[in-house]
Amino acid sequence: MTLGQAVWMQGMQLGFVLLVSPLIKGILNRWKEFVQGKRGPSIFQVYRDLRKLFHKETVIPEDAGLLYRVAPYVYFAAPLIVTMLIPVLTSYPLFMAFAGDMMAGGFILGLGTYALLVGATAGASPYGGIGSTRARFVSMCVEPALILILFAVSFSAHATIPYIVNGVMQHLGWSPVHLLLMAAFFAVLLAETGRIPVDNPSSHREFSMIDHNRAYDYSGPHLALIEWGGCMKFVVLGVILLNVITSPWGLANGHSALALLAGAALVFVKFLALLAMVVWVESSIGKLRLLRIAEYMAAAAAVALTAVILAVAGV
Amino acid sequence: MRLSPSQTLQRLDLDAFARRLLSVRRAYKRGGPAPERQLLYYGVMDSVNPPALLAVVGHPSSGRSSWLQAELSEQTWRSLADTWPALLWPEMEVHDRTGRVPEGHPDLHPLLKPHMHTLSGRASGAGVFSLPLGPVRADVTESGYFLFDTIGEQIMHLQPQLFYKHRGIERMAVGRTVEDVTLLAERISGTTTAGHTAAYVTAVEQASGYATPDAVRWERQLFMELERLYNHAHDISQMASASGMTVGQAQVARVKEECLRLAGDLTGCRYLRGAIKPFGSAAIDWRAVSSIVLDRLAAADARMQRFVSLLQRTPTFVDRLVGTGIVNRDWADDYGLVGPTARACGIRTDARLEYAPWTSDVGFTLCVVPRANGDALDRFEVRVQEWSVSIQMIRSLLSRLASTNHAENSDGPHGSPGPTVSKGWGGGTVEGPRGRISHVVQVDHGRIAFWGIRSASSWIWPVFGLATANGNIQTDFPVIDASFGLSYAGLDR
Repeated sequence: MTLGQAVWMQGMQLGFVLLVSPLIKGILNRWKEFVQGKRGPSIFQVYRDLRKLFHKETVIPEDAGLLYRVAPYVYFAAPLIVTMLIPVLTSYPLFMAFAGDMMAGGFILGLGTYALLVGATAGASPYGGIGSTRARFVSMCVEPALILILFAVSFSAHATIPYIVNGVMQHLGWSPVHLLLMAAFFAVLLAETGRIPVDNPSSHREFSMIDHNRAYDYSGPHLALIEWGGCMKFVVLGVILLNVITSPWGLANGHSALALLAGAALVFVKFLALLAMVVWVESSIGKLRLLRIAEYMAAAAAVALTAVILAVAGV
Repeated sequence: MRLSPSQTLQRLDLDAFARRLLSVRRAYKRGGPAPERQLLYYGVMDSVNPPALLAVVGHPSSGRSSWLQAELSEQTWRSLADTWPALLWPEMEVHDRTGRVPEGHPDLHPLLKPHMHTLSGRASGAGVFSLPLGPVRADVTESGYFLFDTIGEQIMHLQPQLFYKHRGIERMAVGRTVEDVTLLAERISGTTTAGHTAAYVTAVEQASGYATPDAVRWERQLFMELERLYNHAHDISQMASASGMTVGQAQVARVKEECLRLAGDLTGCRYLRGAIKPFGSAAIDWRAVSSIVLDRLAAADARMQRFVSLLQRTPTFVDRLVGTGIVNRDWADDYGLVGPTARACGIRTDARLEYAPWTSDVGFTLCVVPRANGDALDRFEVRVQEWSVSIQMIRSLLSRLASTNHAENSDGPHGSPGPTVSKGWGGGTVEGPRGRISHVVQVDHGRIAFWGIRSASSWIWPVFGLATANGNIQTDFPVIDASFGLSYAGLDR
């Protein structure tokens, strides 16, 4: 593989995450409404919303400083950087693959989240502050589960580089460790992307929101970047769940454009299955009380801990 | 409410007035299944000089009421609000409308003009934050401003500031004809059109010495039950929405829409405007529509029962509601709580039971829940039960209405005796979706001389702040808000 080819493939990965993520969010929104007995918005509505927001003016609170302005860009960039570390379309490592492991990916996503909550606080709206403290609380609860998942992964794969991990996971072949890891990471994905049971993404109630509260002051292109960044974060975490932890099935083995396109299509199909799972969860249970989020994540951590023990025992 | 037109007001001096009111206060304090006497109305007649306080006390056991009046000849009068919290807001209203000062009022500030008063936090100390919400809020919520004192997620204190929609409807009516004022009554609160109009029309008919035909009473009750159906469906849907139950929310909202369409098809207005008229006759030939109405109600009821039972069996939903926004019995007695909110505390009060006992012949039964903790779950359960009772009532009212000959009742005002008395007082008390609604009118030659309105929400709003603050956290607020389901416009008028 020449360098030019590698750059081009990396570009395909970035393009997939950048351009397909709003579609995935759109399909999720439509399916959710469909289950409620409504027709639901077009699956392309998220693109229209982004286009609308990019054409709007930006209103910035009076005392908001540099942090407020920089935050949306950091939040937008973080999932793109992580994209370069993980197998989005190809089963073989690309040239950035060894620049960081899963831990680094978690840190980079965490940096984006951190930037947004500092930015929201800098906007000086009380809701931004509330959203930030709640988001901080959720992250705090997610952290142990995430670390335990990484332990289990590294014990069973003896590596934390996503491209190596997914090769090993393939051979675990639905063993208990494998299934437990999938369950635990799914729980983390729901919490990190602000879905039910942690946060209600379709709520309009200022007082109970977590994720949306942080973007309360943002408007225009800034808000578009935050929304888009949120879509990409969901896709990046989804890729880690589907392609790294679950199975590299469907990823392109060849180097041709056709193989890559086929890979993209198959990854998209895997995403549809993930979306169906998310819709099923969101439609059948309610949003937890804030303090019960700790119990929910403790359950996820317990699942991950069991995986660690089984992995160490070599089951 | 039965009030013979010849019955006059008891004109008392302020001391005797206060003594009579305090005896009512003691009836509330005594507790028991329900207070033996109730304050139906408290307000001021500001079009006379000097202005006069007016209170109507109801006796639920006999369905009668006593009317008390006392002139405010001095610039001040002795406030009762410090011993009877239910009078806190009404006394401030009197102050705003007349300038007379209630001496010893614990919290006197402009109530009707929220822009003239700035709320400030009550709590102070390290880590205490004041958090404003409103008056412009997301979705279709009405205008209201809330100031929360919080420490972390915990709500320490909540002050509501309302009356952003104060239109002075009671004053607007003075001097207008009874028929014109009906239009105003329909517009007091959009979601309680039938309730307020029925209370107003009952009051006017009593003041005019008009004997309302049975068929007309049945029809009015039917419209009120239909209104209760869509309001309860709305509240249940909002509770599902507040706890993130998206499917329950959408499907119960659909039930609400089916009820609204039924109302629209029956009366020409989804919110039942124009359906109830003074001195009117039955508006609809029910024989022609009764089977269609029954079919559509059965479909709505089936959907409602299905999704309510799904909600009741969802642990995350029940967990959000149980123990949230508890109203304790003391507050209920202190503030004279009414409606489903009171029944959720185990208080056996319902204006249909107390002032319209005939409704028990058409399937009315009082709904209280055995838990009676006064939390959001109890308010949910009471509404679920009342939905079924209202369906049952509509069925039996329909069978009665369909068996009467519409032609006999449709002669209009010409066929009926019409008003027999030119001057008089009248009162109307009905059970609206949120609780007891009382209207008091003075009619003078077909025109309104005085009009007093007490909506259910006006008794409940002061308790809302207390129930929100005690032991709840900020993310519980939407659940509490939805479980109270209060009307802003009905309070503001």
